Formats: sequence, structure tokens, C-alpha cells
Amino acid sequence: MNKQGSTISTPVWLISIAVILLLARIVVWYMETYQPQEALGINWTEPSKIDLSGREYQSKLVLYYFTAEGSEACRAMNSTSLLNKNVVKLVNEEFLPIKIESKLNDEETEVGKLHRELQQKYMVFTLPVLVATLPDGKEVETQNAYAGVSAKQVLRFLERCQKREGYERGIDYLAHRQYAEAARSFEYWLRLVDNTKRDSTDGALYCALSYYMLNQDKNMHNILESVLRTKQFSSGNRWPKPLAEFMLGELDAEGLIKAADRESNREPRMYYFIAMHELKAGNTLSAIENFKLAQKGTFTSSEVYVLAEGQLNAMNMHQ
Amino acid sequence: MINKAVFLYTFLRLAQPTTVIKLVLFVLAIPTALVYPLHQAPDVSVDLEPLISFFASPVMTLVVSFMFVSSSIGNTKSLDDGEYLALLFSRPLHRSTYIFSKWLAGSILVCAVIGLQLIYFIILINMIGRGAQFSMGFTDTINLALNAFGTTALVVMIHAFPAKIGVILFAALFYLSFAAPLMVQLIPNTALFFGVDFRNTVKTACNVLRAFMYSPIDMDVYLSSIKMVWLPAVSFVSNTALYLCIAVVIMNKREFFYTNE
Repeated sequence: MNKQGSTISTPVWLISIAVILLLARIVVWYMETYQPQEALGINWTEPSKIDLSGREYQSKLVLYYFTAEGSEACRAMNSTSLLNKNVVKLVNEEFLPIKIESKLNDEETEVGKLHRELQQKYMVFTLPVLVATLPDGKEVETQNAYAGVSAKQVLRFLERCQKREGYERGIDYLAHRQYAEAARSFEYWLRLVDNTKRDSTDGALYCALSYYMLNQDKNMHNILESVLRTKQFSSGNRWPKPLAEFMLGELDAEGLIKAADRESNREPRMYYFIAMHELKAGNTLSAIENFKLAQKGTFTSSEVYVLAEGQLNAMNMHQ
Repeated sequence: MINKAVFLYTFLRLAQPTTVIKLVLFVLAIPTALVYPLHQAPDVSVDLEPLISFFASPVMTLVVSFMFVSSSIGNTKSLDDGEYLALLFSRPLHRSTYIFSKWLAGSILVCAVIGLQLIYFIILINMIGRGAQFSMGFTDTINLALNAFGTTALVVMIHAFPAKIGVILFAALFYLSFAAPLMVQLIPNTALFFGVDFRNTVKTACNVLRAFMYSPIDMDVYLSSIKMVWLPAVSFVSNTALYLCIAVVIMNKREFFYTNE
């Protein structure tokens, strides 16, 4: 039997299709890699061209995009996730997008040095990475895209950052004793999250604390009652319910510490809340002692440490 | 191009007791593992979209292909799941017909298995009261089907090789494509025979190798992009055609004996 009609012949059409597609792939790859790209999509700006302390930038989150020339992963992200129309619209309208593009041989340039500083500040080791921050540089969230990230994942990341913004701004204001602004930020954040779920509890407690420091007891009670109504507290004294009870006056500091010991959970935040209570009562020395206890054993980047540090700095400045 | 008997037998193989047990455990295990933590923490809000996308991801289709499709391709063992290929190919059945039939049947099988998992996942989600959060978009469904066809073509190619050669070769190349650039990074510049260019060449070669190992497709890129980018789609179709072509060529070259392997 000749090869043409035999059962072990490879169909010519299959080989043709495979070869044509391979050639088409090479052509498309060349065109998309080396042809000049139109400036479509996100309106990126350079970090050296912008002063984030300006008033016009205070209302938006900053989105840093760390990328590198010649990186396959960065090229893939540029041509897929970052060209998604929903991503483009959300970034252009709600964020201040800044691109940090590392190029070959830019180590000694001013721009290169600024890029490296930002990479070190936000601990960027692999590329590409998206980092969302407040205008003052405080990090909100990071999305590493080295292993590839779809447009949906980028959208979810941006939406989480938007939700998180209120919380992070609230922490910032609370640390700087701007209690009214803190309460407003936390209230904004609480409107965006599901306040029947556990992850809203922390923000609700800080919001209540802000009202407590402003002597707005009615607002504080409203927030704390919504905290106590969440499902996690429906059975027993699960932490951090005792913190809410402490602010309502149902527990004193000793009772709070005993409640924490029962749950083997002497967390730093407990000392922070006690310190704020002491501060409001005018017991400065006790407040300082408890702020220092709150900082003990926590990372300097943790929110409790930052909150306690803000209060300690303010007290040092006044002494 | 499709042989009905080969096509149908690929599904009938699932009826064997060991395969049924494996299928049931696999379909039940993963959704249960994903839903159990949600049941334990009803007061924590969770975004279900990443979990749903996980079922349509190329990782899942690859795992299902390897578990349920691979053993039916080029399997000459005269056990319950063997196909007596020596006898099969003594008939006027084109080996390319065999490959295409396996590919089509395997792809449908992968979609069916993942579909069963999704159905079970939906049942569990509704039982724990989070059913309202479930939504599987059009793009996830298309991605599932396309990735199933792509990964099944890869698995067909790997198992068209005799014995375990295909699996070992693929695993070695896959490992090399990730490990080589990292190993080269660790070599000091002064020790490199060809300078820094050697490191870049190795990285480029490994990128090219990885591009041919598998290129998953995401339809979201095409349905919601402000600018058409053709490379992912062309790479996906090109890889699929290449895998099938190589599978046919290898199967054509293989010799079968009644007592081999």
C-alpha cells in the first residue's frame, strides 16, 4: 500500500494548518512587540512629574504600576489586563495612575534612582506589581502579577482598594488625632462593606472610638450596637466583643484584660483601647504606658503600632 | 476524522469501578474543600468569583485531563483499561482519526467532569446560604470549553509517545523552562563564558519554550478590551494544532506488537 492512502499518513491539511499558524504566530508576535504602540488605555504619569502633596491629588488613591522594559510578564499584562475597558475606566476615573518603568542602563539617572527608591519603599522584588497607596504614601494594597493576572483579578484588586481606602484614611486620621475626619472615613467604609460580617468589626470599633473621643456618645452607641449584633457574637463572648463592652462602660480595664486572658488573646489593640480611655480621662502617664504596651511585640508597620505612635508623638510635642 | 467507536469507548472507560470511585472522589473532594471553610466562618464575607474562575482555569482542565483522559490514549496494556491498540491499528483506521476522536471525546469529558464539580459546588453553596453570591459569567463558560480543548490536545500529545517518554520529556522541559533562568541568574558575571548576553539568551529561550508548553486563553481579553491583541488567541490555536500534529506524527511512527509494553 502506498504511503498516501495508508493509515499511518499524516493529513496534509493538518501539517499545513500547523505551519501556517506557527508562521502567523511569529508575525503577530513581531508586530505586537516591535511595532510602535498607540497611547491607548490608562493615562499613566511619571513619579518625577508629579507632586503628591498638592491639594488636587488628595482625594484619589495613587496606583503605582511597577514594570520593566523587556519583561515578558510585563508585556503580557500591558496587552491584556491593562487594556480591559473596565480596568481602564476605573483607573482613569478613580485613581492617580503612576507608572514606574525600569529600563536598561537607567541605574545612574535621577529617574532610575527615584524608581529604585520607590521599589525599596514598597518592597517590590518581582515585576510587574500594582501598588495602591494613599497620597501620603501609605500603602493600601499590593497585587503581584509576576505569575500572570487576569483583568477580573485586577478589577477585584482595584475595588478592594477603593473599599479599603476609607479604612486606611480613617486609621491615618485617628493616628493624627483628627477624630471627626476619622469617624467620617470609617463611616464611609462601613457603608461599602457588609456590616453583618466579621471583617467590618475592626473598622466599626475604630469608628466608635473616634466618636468616643469626640464625646458623641449616641453615635458611638449606634455603631457598637451594630457590632454586637454581628453573627460572630451571637454565642458567647468571642473576641473582640469585650472591646465593644469596654467602650460602652460594661467592662473596666481589669475586666477587659480578664476577658482577653479567657480567650488567650492579649492582643496589642486591647492596650491601645485602654490607653485611649485613659487619655480621655486625663491619665496621661497611664495612657503612655498602655500605648507602649500596645507597641510592644508588634511590627512597626502594623496599624496598632502606627496608631499608638501617632498618639505618643502628639503627647511628646505637647510636653 | 472522528471514529464513533473510539469516541464512545473513551466515555465507556469511565464505567470501570476504579475509575468511577476516582471520579466520585474527585468531583466531591474539591468543592467540599473549598466550601467547608466558608461554612466554618459564616460571618466572614468572601468573594466567590475567584473560586468559580478556578474551576474554569487551565490548571483545573489540565489536572482533569491527566486524571481521566491520559490513561485512555496510546495505552497498550492489556488490562481493564487497555485498548489493544495492536489490534485496533490492524484495521483500516487512520491513526490521525484515533487521535482526533480521543481529543474530542477527552475535551467533552473534561468539560463534563468540571461541570459536575460546579453543580456540586452550587448545591453546597446554596446549602450554606451563600447561593445568591454565585454567578458564572459567559466568559468563564467559554474559557472552560476552550481550555479543555487546549489542555486535552496537550495531554493527547504527551501520551502519544510510547511508555512514559512523553510524560518524562514534558516534565523535564517544563522544569527546565522555569529553573534554567533562575540557575543562570545565580552565576556571577565573570564566570559566564559568553558574558551577560548568555544570561539573556537563556532567559529568551526559556520564554519561547514556555510559550510552546501551553498557552491558556482568556476570552475576557477579547470581549472587553479597548484594543484587540491577537497573540494570545493565535498562540492558543497554534499550540493546539501543533500538539495534534505532533501526536499524529508520533502515533504514526509507533510500532505495536501483541506482546509489547
